[in-house]
Amino acid sequence: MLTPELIRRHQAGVWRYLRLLGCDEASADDLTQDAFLALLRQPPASAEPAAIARWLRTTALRLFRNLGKRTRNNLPLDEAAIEAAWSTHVQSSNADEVMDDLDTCMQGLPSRMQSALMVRYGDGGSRHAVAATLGLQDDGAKTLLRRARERLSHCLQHKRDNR
Amino acid sequence: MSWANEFLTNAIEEHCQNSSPPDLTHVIMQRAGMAPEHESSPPPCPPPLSVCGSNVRTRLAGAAIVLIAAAVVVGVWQTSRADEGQGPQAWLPMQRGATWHYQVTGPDGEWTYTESASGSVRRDNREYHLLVTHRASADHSDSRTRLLACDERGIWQDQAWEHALNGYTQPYSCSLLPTPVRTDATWHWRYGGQELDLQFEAKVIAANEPCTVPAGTYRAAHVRATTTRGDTALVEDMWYARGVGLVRKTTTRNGKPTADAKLTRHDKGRPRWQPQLMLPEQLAKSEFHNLGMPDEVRVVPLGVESLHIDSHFLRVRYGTEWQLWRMTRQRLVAFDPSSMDAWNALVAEEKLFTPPKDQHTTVATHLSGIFGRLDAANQGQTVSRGPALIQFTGFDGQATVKQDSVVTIAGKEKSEMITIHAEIKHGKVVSIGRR
Repeated sequence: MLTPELIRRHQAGVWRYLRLLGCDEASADDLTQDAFLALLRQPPASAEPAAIARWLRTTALRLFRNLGKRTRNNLPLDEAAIEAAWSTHVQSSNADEVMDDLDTCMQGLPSRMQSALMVRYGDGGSRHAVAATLGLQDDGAKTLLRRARERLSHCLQHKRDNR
Repeated sequence: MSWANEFLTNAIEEHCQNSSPPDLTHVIMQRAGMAPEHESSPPPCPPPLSVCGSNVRTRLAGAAIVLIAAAVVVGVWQTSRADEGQGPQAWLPMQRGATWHYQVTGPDGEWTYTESASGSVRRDNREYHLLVTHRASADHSDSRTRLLACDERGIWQDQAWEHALNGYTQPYSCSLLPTPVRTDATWHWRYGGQELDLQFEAKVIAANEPCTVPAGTYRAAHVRATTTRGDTALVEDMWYARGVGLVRKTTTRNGKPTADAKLTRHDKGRPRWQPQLMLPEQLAKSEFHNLGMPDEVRVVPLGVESLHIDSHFLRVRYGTEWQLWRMTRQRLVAFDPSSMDAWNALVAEEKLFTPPKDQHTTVATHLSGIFGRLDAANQGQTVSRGPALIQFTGFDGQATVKQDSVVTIAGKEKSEMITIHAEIKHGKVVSIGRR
């Protein structure tokens, strides 16, 4: 069942799923490989692409759980809740559409908001680092980041609704 | 906090870090024990020509035409296979952060080295990538930097820049693999250094030859380069695989093998960051205009006397003051070359290689050609390769020195004007005198 074509079809989705759970890049690389090897050992009952994608996500979640790492906000790794959020907010099998939408939404943000997000999430800077970079007080940086996330969330929702 | 918010946060992080899913197909198939050969499948044969009528002769003629057409297609496929699909750039894909790991065996033992694509520069309207080669063994480590381009010419090495980076005195540029790759194609290149001047004759032995190394089995273009140096006949065989780069290199001297380097791992790196940089507030306060600079920087401050972009560093001159900025992902950050922390952050972020003990020297060597000058390490040491600018701790005089030279520098130490003499041998300060 394991073929290069199947891997190419599903690997990006598994990798993105792991990354959206909070997996770092290196671990996502490793667990993606492990998920496909598990597929080889114990293939799912159905060969339908959607069924395989779901099977791979379930396996990836189990592997991520076995890592013993906490999620960013210490959320429980409840498969039903995760799958519901994935179905609602990601929708596509490999999250490419979401990342493309996010790219568009990011470019629509004011430059200060983009800068704030870059310092916070691109460079891993603290809120204080964001404040220092933009010449703000810490509270101002907090507000700016919150507003940036809100705008992104609304933008992504708008794109999902219009898809 | 919900999973929706968690997904959003992690997606923002992924976007800001410009990460993307790698192609793990081969690795997975290899781990599953089902690794295919690396060449893509041949193009499908064209649909058979329609055969009209029921006349047997016509049908046979039609079948013959189909067979001939198929043979022509296959023949064309084999000779052009080296260039199909991915283009000439595929012969050495140098995305930022791409790394090749090699295991070398030879009469002197075994060692490893890595090559990393750490950045790019534009030269003569072409993009060249900085390829840092770092070798580490139990008691020794060193590195050198080459400037390579892979474009419609094939793989091209710009030795003029290598001259600046590594101190060679005879700068020549050369083609390492011209495209389109054709069996029996020949060319030559010249390689120069302080004590070397070698003329290589190169030939494509095979455009599509199987090559098995620890990283996998590839179909590769096999290049043989030969030269003589005195009584020594040197032969280098190189195998380049599309989508990967150099997968194997062997060296023989007078027929005896001296080194066999095989690819053990290839990390593809990440796509280049978006060209639109976000300028920090300090620069943003100035008015800007577009100088038509390369994509890395769209606008520059008005009234700036000069602006120079090298790889991922931006030097801005305001009056008599130079200010250095380093491009990191999609931001510019101020860079202080006298700060070891800044250098350490650069090495860590660039993931150039496992830093050796004297990482300042190595990184400084890597970047000296970019800056054109370099503030040397502390404790009065120069970098191991020149030319370089030395500056002694607590002393504000500067001078450009070569690996072996005697230099007199006048300057201030605290508030006192003094002159110092420094003798540099093999890139190290061996004596300092003061007046």
